[in-house]
Amino acid sequence: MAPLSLYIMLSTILFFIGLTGVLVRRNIIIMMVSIEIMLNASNLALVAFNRFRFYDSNDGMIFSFLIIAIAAAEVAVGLAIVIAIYRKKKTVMIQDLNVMKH
Amino acid sequence: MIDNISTIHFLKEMLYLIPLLILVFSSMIILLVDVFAESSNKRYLAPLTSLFLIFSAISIFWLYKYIPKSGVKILYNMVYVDHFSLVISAMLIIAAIITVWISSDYLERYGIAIGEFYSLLLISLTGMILMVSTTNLFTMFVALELFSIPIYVLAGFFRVYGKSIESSIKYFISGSVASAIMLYGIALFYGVFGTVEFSEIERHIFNHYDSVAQIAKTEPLLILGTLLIMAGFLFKTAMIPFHMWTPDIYEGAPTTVTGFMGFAVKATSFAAFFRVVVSIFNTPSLVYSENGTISPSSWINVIYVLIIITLIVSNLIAMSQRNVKRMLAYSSISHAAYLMIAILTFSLSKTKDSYGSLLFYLLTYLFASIGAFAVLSIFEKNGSNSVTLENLNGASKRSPFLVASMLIFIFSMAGVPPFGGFFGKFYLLKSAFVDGSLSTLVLIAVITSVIGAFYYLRVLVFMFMKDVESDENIETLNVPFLGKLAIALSAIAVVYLGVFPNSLIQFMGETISNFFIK
Amino acid sequence: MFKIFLMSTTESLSKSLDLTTTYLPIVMMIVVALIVAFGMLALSIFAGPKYPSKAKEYPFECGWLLDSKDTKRKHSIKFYMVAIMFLIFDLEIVFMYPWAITFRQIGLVSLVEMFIFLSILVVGYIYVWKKGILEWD
Repeated sequence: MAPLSLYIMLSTILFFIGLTGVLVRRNIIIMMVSIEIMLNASNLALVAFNRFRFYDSNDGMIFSFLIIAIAAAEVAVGLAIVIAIYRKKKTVMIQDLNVMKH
Repeated sequence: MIDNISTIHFLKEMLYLIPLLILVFSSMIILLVDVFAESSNKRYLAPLTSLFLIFSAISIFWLYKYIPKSGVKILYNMVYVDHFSLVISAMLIIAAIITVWISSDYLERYGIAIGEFYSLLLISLTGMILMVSTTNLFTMFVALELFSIPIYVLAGFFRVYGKSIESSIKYFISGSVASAIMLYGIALFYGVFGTVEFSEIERHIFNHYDSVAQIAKTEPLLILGTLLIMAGFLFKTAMIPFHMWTPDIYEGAPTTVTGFMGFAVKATSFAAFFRVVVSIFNTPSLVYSENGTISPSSWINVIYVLIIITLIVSNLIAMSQRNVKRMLAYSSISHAAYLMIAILTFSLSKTKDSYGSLLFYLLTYLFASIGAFAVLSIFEKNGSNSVTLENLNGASKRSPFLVASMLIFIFSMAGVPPFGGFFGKFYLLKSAFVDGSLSTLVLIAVITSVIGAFYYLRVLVFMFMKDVESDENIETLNVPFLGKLAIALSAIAVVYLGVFPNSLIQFMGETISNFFIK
Repeated sequence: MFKIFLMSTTESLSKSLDLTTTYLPIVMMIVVALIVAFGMLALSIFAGPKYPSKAKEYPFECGWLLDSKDTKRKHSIKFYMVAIMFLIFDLEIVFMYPWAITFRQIGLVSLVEMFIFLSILVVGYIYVWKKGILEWD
């Protein structure tokens, strides 16, 4: 089986892919996808740590279940907000949302 | 591994959760009432909500007498109810009650559906109370999301106005990124310790590591985790450079929501961060290097630098704002810096003087900030969802009551002597000054608060001295009853805190010193 | 030598027997599921009425007809609404599987807790229903 360090490296890479995605991309939907990638990077790290280091309890895996549910709730709310924005402005690009710039 | 817990034990644990349970069930009830009730009866929702909130507050007072000083851990150590959490919860509930009272008329003026507003407010409040009453990083993250997600929706509650919905999505994106960053830090902590319980983490650090340098060598993930968790908190408390979202969101969100958010999110994050600092970050091996001085790579230095930047930048930017809500946003950022000074003082000095200052400052900030936003919510022109300085012209003729209370709130935030905010700042800076290492910080804080007084007082100048232009006719504002009650009570509270601060300071100090009862 | 071989084979045999008994219910479930699924299809093919028409022979698409190559066109907002609702009400299964597996160990209290959790979801469902989000037209 692959060693723990590989899992953690993968999870770190995923985390930074997500972070870069949020910072670079301009489409709100893609930004939400990037946030999901960040959350799932944490999920991977939790499960890997649990499996390799602390295998006599299931805390990490249970928590990753919770994170999955939380991420779904977050995305549902985010999509609802995006729908409201689209109804109002007919766009989902973040640079078009500049009413409050001075 | 999991025992068969008896029903009686379960019920006994539920007893400690009564404030939370009341909030959860009342939010459900209000949602159902809103769906099934006729639209003419919906104006009773605000009194109903405040009734539930008052029940919850009463149960908190009762619990305060009931629980031991060292607190109780329930639900497999996932929730920790102690005096500190109850005091913060009481403050949050007071904030929610004031918000509900102001909102009932505010929402009616805008003609926005109202049931969901109260329901979301209560769910968010549940998350906040859960967040301050836990010593478990997992529970803390769940609670963080539980209070954040309803706030995202509340910020976009006026979905027909572009500003509101924009602020909502900006808050959503930045807030989600912040919680994702914090979550990764939590995952790393779990990876290092195999537990997320504060006390066990503290014991582990205490037993296995001596200094920051050693940790960085043997377990670098721990340092990274510390920084990531701290970044999440700095985001939520809106310290510069993590403040980018604040002005836009404060401006765009419905004004009563801004008032609630400005206090409650900040208070919750600071209370939770305080717990994390007391339990985990304050462990000597995370702060000091081998020879007993503060290590250059310790989190304390990061906070120290950020406080200085925040104090200077926020006050300077606030001066150039014409929009009052934006100005108050920057003012709230500078208040965050003050609160951070309190936390820093606490972790550096071990004198008991510094104990009460954080909670007392939060209390004064509660009434001044929510009161100020409440006044603004009445002044704002219908449909604009924002107040510029020019909108306040001749306000003293339109409603003397509102202007008088705004004067109290503004003076309190600026730190003018007879009001609560002055004593909040005074005690905070005094305890920071007594501990010698922070005297530079205190000096900068005093200078910037003098700068800050300028933009606070400018609001009053516009209210008192400038008259309305001739084409606008002066009409007296009629303040609704509940709103008037809320503003009057906040003003009285601010004055009271300024005149009789001592007993409360002492009370807050005792609350914090309960942390050290083992 | 031979004895050892014999022992090892019997051991592996018993192990595989063990495996069979453990996975037998699952195999049976799969078989029953297959029988039911294909049985239904077969029944409808052999016993059901047949009225072929042009509309039925059209390639099946869920919700809208994909007759142009234009992928950028906009779809009704109702799809998003349904997707969001599905997301929310589907994810509670994440908690129900672990709960169902450990139910015997954590006892009656967990039943109450699950009912509280589900009742919260039901409140949400009632809200969604009364707000008319489930109605398509």
